[in-house]
Amino acid sequence: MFEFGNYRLRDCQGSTRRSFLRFGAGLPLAAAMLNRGPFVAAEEVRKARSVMLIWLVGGPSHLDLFDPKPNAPAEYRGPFAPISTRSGAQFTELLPRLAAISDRFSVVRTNINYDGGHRPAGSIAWTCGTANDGGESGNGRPSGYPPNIGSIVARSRGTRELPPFISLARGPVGDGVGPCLGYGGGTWGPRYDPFMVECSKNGQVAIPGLKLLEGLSPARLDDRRRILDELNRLRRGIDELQLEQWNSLHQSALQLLRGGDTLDAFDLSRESENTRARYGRTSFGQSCLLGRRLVEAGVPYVQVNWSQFAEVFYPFSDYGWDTHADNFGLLADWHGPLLDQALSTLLNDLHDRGLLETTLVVCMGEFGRTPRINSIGSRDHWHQCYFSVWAGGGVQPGRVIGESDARGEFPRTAAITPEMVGTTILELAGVGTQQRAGYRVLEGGRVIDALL
Amino acid sequence: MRSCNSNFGGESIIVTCVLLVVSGQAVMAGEPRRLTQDGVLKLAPVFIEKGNAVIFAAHDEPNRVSLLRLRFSDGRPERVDSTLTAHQFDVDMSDDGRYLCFVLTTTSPQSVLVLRDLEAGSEVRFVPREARGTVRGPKISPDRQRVVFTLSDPGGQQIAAVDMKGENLKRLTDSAGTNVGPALSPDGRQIAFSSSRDGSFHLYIMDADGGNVRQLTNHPLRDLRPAWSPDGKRIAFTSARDGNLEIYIINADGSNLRRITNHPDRDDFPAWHPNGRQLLVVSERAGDSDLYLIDLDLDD
Repeated sequence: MFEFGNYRLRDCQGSTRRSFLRFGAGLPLAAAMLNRGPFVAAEEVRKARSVMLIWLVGGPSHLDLFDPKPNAPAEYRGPFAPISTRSGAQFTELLPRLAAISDRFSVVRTNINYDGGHRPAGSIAWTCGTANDGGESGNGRPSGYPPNIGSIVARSRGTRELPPFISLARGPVGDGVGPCLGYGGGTWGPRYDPFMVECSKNGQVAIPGLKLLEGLSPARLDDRRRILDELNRLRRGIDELQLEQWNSLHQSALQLLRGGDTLDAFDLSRESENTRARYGRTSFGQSCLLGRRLVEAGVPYVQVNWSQFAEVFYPFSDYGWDTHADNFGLLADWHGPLLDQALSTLLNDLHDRGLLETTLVVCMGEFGRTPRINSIGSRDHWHQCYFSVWAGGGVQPGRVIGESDARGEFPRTAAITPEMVGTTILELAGVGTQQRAGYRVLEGGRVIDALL
Repeated sequence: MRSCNSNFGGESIIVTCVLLVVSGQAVMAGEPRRLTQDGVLKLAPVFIEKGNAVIFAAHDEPNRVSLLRLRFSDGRPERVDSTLTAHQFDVDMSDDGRYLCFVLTTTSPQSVLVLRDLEAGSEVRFVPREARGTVRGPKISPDRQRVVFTLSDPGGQQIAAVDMKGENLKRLTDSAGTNVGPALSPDGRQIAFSSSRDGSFHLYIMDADGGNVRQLTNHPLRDLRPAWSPDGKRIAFTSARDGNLEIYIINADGSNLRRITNHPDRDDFPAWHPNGRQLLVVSERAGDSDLYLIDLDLDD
C-alpha cells in the first residue's frame, strides 16, 4: 500500500513500483497549485558536477583514524597501530581498505572549527559562518545562519526533476538537544532547505517530510476539489514561515513524484544484491549507495549522514561518533570497520563507473576528539585540529595536506578553516568568485590550494 | 622463548616474549556454515543451552541494537527481551542457564551492567560512577559468583568485577592504556584480556585476582577478543596481523599459533562451542555480516 508520509519503493517489504507510479500520475495538478521561484542557473560548472558530503556526526577521532601519533606519549596516542598506505601516508589499522586505495583521495590534517559543541560546530561547518541571532547557544532559528553550502550549490544549479540538495538521514541531524540550525537555506529562507530522504539498512527509501500530506489517499487524488480543500485545510494550520517551507518541500516532492524515470534514482532494488551488500547492511552504507545513485542521476549536492544523532548511547540514538566513553572499543567494534567498508566501496564504485572525476566527495565531521585521553579512557570534543577526506571532482589524490603537531593537538602548518572548506567546495562545484559575490556568500574566501 | 620482568603503570608484569610461528597446518575442517542470512551487523555471540542455541547482538532496527536468540532447531532469531527500548549488547549466560547478563544503554553515553537471575525472576544493575562511564563485555564466572567486565570509569578503561548482586566492585587491572575483553578460563582461575599498555592491543593472561600478568601475544597490529576453549588449553582471538581481521588460535602457554580464517573480509568475535570442536564467528562476506560455524581439526 502506498504511503504518503513514509512511502516505500519496491523492496522486500512488498511495496511495488506500480503503486509508486500510480500515485505520481495523479500529481501534476496538485503540483501546479504550488509556486516556487526557479533556481538561478549556474554560471559555470567546473570540475565537480556533483558534491557528496559524507557527514560523520558526533566528531570522529583524528588520532584513531587518519592522523595516528604512534610516538606521542601513552596518554595521547591510543591503542591503534599505524599502517602504511598506498600513497605513503599512515592511517591507523582501523582503515585497511581505505589505506589500500589512498591514492584515490587526499587527507587534510589541519581542519579547525570555531566551536566545541556539536550543533554550533555542525552549523558552522555546513554554512561557513556564524548565526546572527545567537544560533544554538541562544534562541536562534535556522534563518539566523548563512545558507548551507549545499543550498548555495543548489541555487546555482537548479534541476528539472530531482531536488538539487538532498540530505540522507532519519531526521534533522544534530544531537539529543536538537538539530543543527545551519542545515538549510538559512537567511535565504526554507525554499533552499535540503530535501530530506531516509534510507534504511535494508535499502528502503522514505520521505518523512511528506507526512504533511497524510490523509490524502490515492483515490482522493483523482478528485480535484477534494485536493484543493485538503491543501487549504493544511495551509490554514501553519504560519507563514512554515507555509514557505511547506510549499518548497512539496513542490520538490510533487515534482519528484511526477518525474517518471528519474524516480529510479531512489530505487535501490535496481542495484544487484552484491553491490548493496558491499556498501554494508547499515543505514549509512545504503545511504552511501543511494547517494551514488543520486549523483549518477545528476543531483548537484547530496549530504550523506552517518547518523541522525551525534551520540552513541542515547537509548534512541543511532551510533554517532560522539565517543566520550569507550572510544577505542566502539571504534574497533563498530565505527572503524563500517566507515572503512562504506567509504572505500563508495570511492571504488564512483571510480569504476567513471563518476569520481566529476564528483567531489568530502568526508568529515564537525570536529575531532581530544588527543589527550580522558579520565575514563576515552576522548572528548576537540575542534582545534581534525581531519577531512577529499576525493574526485578536481581534487588531486594521494596527498596529505597539512601537518598537526606531535600530539595532534594543533596545526603545525596553516589551519584549514570552515570558510576554506566551503570556498573550495563551491569553487570546484562551479560557484566562482563572481557568483559568490552576487549571492553575498564567502566573498573573498580562500581555497585549499594544496588540494587542487 | 624468554621471560623478562617489566613494570607498566605500577603493575608488575611478567612478559613472556614468544617467537611465534604461524602453523601452516589446516585447522578448519570444511567450509564454514552460515547460520544467519539477514546480513545486518552482529556482535559478540555466545553459545547457550549446551550448544543448541546462541545469543548475540544485532543492529536490527535503525536506532536499536538488540539481543537475539537463535535456536538451531528452528533457525529463526527471536528477541531475548522485547520490552527493552534501549540498545542491548555484549551478552553472556551462565552454563546452567540461570544467570543472564548484558550491557544496556541508559543516558548518553553511559552503559550499565544488567544481571538477571532467571530462576528467581530478579534483576540487579551495576552502574558506573561517572555519568559517562560504560560497562562492556561482561562474562559470568564459571562458579557463578561474579561477573568480570571492562569498566570505563575514573582510572581509565580497566578490567573489573562485581558479585552477583552487582556489588563489591574490584578493579583487576590498573595499567596505562586500554584494557578490554576479559575472558575467564573454564576453571575460573585465569582471565585472558587485551591491553594496549605496551602500545597496541596485545593479549595478556592474569590470575583471577588480577595478579601475575603475562603477555601472550606481541604483534604490532591488534589482537582482541580472547575466548578460552572448553578444555582450557587454547585461546581463540581476533587479530589484524594479516591486514584484515581474522580468527586465530593459540595455546594458552603462547605456543602453536594458528590462523583459522583466511578471507579478505572481516572475521571477528570467536566463540567456542561447548564441544570444543567448533567455533562460532561473525564473518562479513561481500558486505553481509552473519554468524558462521566453523568445524575445527585440532588433533595436535
